[in-house]
Amino acid sequence: MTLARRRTPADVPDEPGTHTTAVPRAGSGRVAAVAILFLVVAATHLAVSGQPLGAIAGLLDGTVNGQAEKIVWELGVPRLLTALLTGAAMGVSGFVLQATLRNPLAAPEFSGVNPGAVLGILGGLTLGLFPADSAAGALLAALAGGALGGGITWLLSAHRDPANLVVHGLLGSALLAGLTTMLLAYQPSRFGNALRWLIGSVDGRVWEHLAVASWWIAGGIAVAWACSGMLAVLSPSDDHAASLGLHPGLGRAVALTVAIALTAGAASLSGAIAFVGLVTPHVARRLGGGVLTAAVAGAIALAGADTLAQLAGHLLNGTHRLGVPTGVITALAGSAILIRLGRSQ
Amino acid sequence: MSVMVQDLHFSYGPRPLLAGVDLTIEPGEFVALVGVNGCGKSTLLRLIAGLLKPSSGRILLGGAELGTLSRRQVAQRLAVLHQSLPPVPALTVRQLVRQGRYPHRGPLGLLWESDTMEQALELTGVAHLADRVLDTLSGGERQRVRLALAVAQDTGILLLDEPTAHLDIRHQLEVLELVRTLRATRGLTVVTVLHDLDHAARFAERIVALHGRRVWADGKPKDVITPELLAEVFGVAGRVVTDELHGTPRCLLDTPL
Repeated sequence: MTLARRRTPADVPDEPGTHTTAVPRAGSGRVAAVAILFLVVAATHLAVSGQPLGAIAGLLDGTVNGQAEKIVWELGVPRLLTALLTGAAMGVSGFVLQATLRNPLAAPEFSGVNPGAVLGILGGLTLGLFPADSAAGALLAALAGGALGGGITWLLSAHRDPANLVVHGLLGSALLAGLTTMLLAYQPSRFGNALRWLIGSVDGRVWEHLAVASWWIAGGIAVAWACSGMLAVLSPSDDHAASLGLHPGLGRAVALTVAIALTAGAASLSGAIAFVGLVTPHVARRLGGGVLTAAVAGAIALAGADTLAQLAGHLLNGTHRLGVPTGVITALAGSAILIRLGRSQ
Repeated sequence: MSVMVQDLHFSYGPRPLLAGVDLTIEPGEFVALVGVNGCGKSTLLRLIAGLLKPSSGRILLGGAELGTLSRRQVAQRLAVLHQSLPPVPALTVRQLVRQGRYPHRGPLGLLWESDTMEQALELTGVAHLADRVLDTLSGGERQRVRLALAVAQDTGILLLDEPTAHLDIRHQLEVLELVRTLRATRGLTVVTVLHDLDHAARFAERIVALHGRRVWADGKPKDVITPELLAEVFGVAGRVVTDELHGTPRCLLDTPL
């Protein structure tokens, strides 16, 4: 009888081979390693900004003394925080989308949400609905656009298997990108300003931009974390969710709302950063983690990408007005990682 | 917990699939639902689970009308083992079994560990697999893990839709024996769809045969499993003998009619 053959974990010590497919549970060592990586990436990000290291260290005393420290405090630190917040928001948004839509290729940029948010910002700027430096205006426009993009995808895929949503998301994203292009073709003089939103960049963000978005993104991540159990129950199938007492349609609506809110928050800061929302949820799942792991993975990934972007900018002598946008680095690195992940699965 | 089905009608389109199904299952009974493909066995199971709405008729779980219960209240009374569980990347056994606590604790409650979940892993003999990724397990192990999920859900009723499908004969027996043990130790009411009549006769104490949109036969295995059942319901010419060791009927199938 089965019960007689039952083995407890104590009967199965760490024999080689038995744990090859096990996902290690988050231990304190793992948390410490991630924390150190996080600090190293953050410190490197500040260090490559071109300001003397003494100015960065000088900020640790809690006061801003002198010109160099002022530059680090008012440009370097907000840029780092922008990268961390955007990355965290995209990581969580992608994690939520992949769990809810049951497709490992679901991501903010492929679900119409991210292109919609960018269209919302550019449309709002073109129509003069809000001034270019208004953080709240950009957030609201990104929210409206993101909801529109998500809504188009939703309508295209209504009453179909949620797994197919990604295909319709790609169609919806193409449609929205087309509209954005039309908008730019209509007023080509704005193209230079629009580029940062189209490619995605964390450059040039200051404390005022962060004031609104940081609360928004932190709140969104907290809600997503509180929904962890719901996401888990929703992941296998609608029947599974319903049999465990969750109305699948309701759960999906809540989850998609959170994903749209987070994507819009990220887009209002940094525009269309691609691949972070697609790749980092895979990393989080491989580590056996959930929403918070996805947030940390996304934050580290984007801060790391922006470090590379700054280094590349220095190499190119910084003559171009935009430098190297972070979105270029995430697109290059993200596609390489995705190909690797795809081959190893 | 009892299950009562009264004058149940259901149709997916214009053609009725079930018309006038009556069934009363007492607490603690082990009932097997048998019938040909497409006769409405799985549909009846889904109706009882509240996943489909009947066109007319009543379903009562432990005396409470299904329609008046919330999704969560239904999930506290009744666990379902669906035919398949679609793969979820990197989902571990522990993470899946923990989901059984959802109907009781809600989404926030799943963030903390649970003794009930650990007990469920022990009771179903999968504690040693707790940290394994579900997709790396064998078919038999997977079914036991899914039973652990049902145990963690801590319900009075367990519905199973072909729990032995795609398993080899040894694991078929293991899964059914585990269901029988769980039913005995936890006082579960078990309703299972089974294709193998010999298994149905051996493990269930009552067999319900669906045919012609309603219950065609309902009773003890030796009364239901007859050559007439094989001919009328399944369209197969066959003989029924008695297994001397277990005292249950066994079918010797000869030819399709």
